[in-house]
Amino acid sequence: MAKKLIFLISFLLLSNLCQAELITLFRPAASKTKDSSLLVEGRVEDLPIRHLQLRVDPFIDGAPTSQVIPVENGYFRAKVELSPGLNIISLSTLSGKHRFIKPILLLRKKQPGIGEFGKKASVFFTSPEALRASPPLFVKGVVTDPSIKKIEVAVMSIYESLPQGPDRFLTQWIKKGIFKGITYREVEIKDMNFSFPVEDLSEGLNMIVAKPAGLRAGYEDVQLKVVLHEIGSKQIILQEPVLSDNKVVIKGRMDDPSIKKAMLGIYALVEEKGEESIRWIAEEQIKIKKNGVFELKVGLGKGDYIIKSSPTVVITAPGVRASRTLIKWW
Amino acid sequence: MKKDMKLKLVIFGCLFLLPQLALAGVRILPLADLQILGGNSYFEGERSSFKGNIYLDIVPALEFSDRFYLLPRYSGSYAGNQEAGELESGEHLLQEIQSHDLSLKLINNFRPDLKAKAKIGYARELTIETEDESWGNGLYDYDQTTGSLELEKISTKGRIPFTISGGGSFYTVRFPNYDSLASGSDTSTAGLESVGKDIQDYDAKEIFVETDLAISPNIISKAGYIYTHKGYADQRLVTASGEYESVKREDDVHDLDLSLNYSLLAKIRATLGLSYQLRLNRSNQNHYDASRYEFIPNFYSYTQHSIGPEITLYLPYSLTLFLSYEYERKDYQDRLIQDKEGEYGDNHLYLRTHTANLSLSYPLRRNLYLKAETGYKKAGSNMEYEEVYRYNYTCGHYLFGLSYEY
Repeated sequence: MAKKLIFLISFLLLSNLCQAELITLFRPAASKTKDSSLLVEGRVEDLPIRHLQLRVDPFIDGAPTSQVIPVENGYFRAKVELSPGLNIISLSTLSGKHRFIKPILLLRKKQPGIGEFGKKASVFFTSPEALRASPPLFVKGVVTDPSIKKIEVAVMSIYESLPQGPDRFLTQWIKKGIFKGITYREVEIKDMNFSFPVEDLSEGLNMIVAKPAGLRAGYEDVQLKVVLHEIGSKQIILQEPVLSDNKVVIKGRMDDPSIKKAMLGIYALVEEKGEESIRWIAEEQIKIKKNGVFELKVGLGKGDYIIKSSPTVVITAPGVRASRTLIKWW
Repeated sequence: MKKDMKLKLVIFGCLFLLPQLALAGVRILPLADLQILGGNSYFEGERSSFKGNIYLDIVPALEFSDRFYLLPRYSGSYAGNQEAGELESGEHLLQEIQSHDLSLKLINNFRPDLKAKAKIGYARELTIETEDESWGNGLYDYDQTTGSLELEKISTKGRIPFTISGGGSFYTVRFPNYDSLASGSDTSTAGLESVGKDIQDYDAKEIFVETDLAISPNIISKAGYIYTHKGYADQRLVTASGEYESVKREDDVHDLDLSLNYSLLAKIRATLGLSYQLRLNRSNQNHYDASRYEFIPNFYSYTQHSIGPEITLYLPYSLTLFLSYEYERKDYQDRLIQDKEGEYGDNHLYLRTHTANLSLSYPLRRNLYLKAETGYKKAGSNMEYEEVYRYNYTCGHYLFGLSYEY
């Protein structure tokens, strides 16, 4: 029995496919909320932890708050107030050595424009230069102020910040991992340079925002980079869609002769009755020719909405999916 | 080499490796809890002299490149105040107790929602029953070696976040002083040599399942069940004629643990808790009282219920007040009561205890607390014979001191 246990422990020790936390957060579970008052609730491992330091740091605009909260029978619970936009909730032991981080977005009524970011930023991205990117992505950059020792970075889909949230189709995609939620990390600066990997990108447009660690920053202090992630497939070869006479021209080829039917969907950020949301703007079945080629033109703007961002074209067949996003659609 | 010896070697070997890991770029995240309290205790109205209690818990948690944690841990305590403790099959008055527990635990998320835990440990507890006794000679001093594996599922996406874990463990408990002292004590019975040498030593196997449910934003409930099988390799069963069989003693223990924890996050913050524990101990061992020719089957089998509320109040000026009460009832299946002279009655033995604790803490600094606590326990039973064990008594303590957390 002891030998088996020792073997198992050795196996676990050598395994690299793991990540562990000493704190389990029950609430909040979602990455966004509409309520500024939020309950933070969870459990710690069986360890000598009787108090935790709970901080809320707004990423942009807003004052940080901090409180020491008790841990009773391994559980902790406290209320915090969020600022509009991205907030970083952190729970740390009193020594400050162990830290658990949960990024959460308090939805705003109006989203900031891309042009509002980075006018006075001291953080600059140098790589990748191309708009299209696939994870794992290695981001590099520099800081212009030598006193900056660390930066904070958040990565999220542009659709994350929508008050209406994804519709029921996209909710399923979140479960399937097509939308990844918000990731946050702190990155050390070495010789005024930084680099960090981005292991997860959501389908479509993603925002990477960065600022000096601990800085109470406005939009102008925060650097923004937008990257586009398109899902490729060996079975579905999808060309870049183009816009022609307010119609999206979609061309491609099925490399798998067993696929006889496929569905086309186009989703986009739209404004409808004064509110922004993400929704399907076109859905139809694709006719595949005998040689596997398909081609179709889909009209946009038929509904009572205004398309606010680049529409994403998705082709799905049983078990496969490919997507491309229109960069120039207006 | 004995199994527990091998485990000890593994634990000490792992602890020896810790400094090497630190040099290899592993981040060390120290956690510590230290409490130093002094005060008095009393037993049946008789006060002890001023004594101290010390508790130390240190975990230099090792973080391997954000990938997983290894948690070496030392927990040690010394209680200089008299207290009643359960030893073998009844309550004794203990003058002093010290315990030392070394363990190594690994926590590993195979998936974001799945956590594996493995633990090995070695513990030693030493007791002093009489004032002229010295450390290391206690009849009930014991060593325990433990190994466990656990798998935990975490779900936070649904309406009711929960964790559920299950696993197994084994442990060995050895009483190094028991055999030599027991042979010369009054508790020995005729034919002791044939009963076995290390009669208190046992090996235990355990399976457990436990769940935490965050039922609503202010309520967390917990439920756990543990099944333990204890095998006493050197303790033979006593027959109705007072002889010993070749069959060994085996105990099956079922533990059920339910609790509810409610938080009131109003102007004055409070946490209310209610817990219930059930223990069914089923043992095949009997007892033969040679002096009175009395045979008692299933001598160690009992059912025990305990229930208790607790409240924590977070008062103005950062004062924290904790108050708890527990009622415990233990009913032996077949063990008979005795009168003051030791004559057996017809009824089965029961024990009832009421325990209350009150503590107050005040932060002197962010991680340094001034602490005062008091506790009271009243035990009652239908057993009147108390030559060996105590069944009817009151005891308590009051302590104050400092608590430090890192």
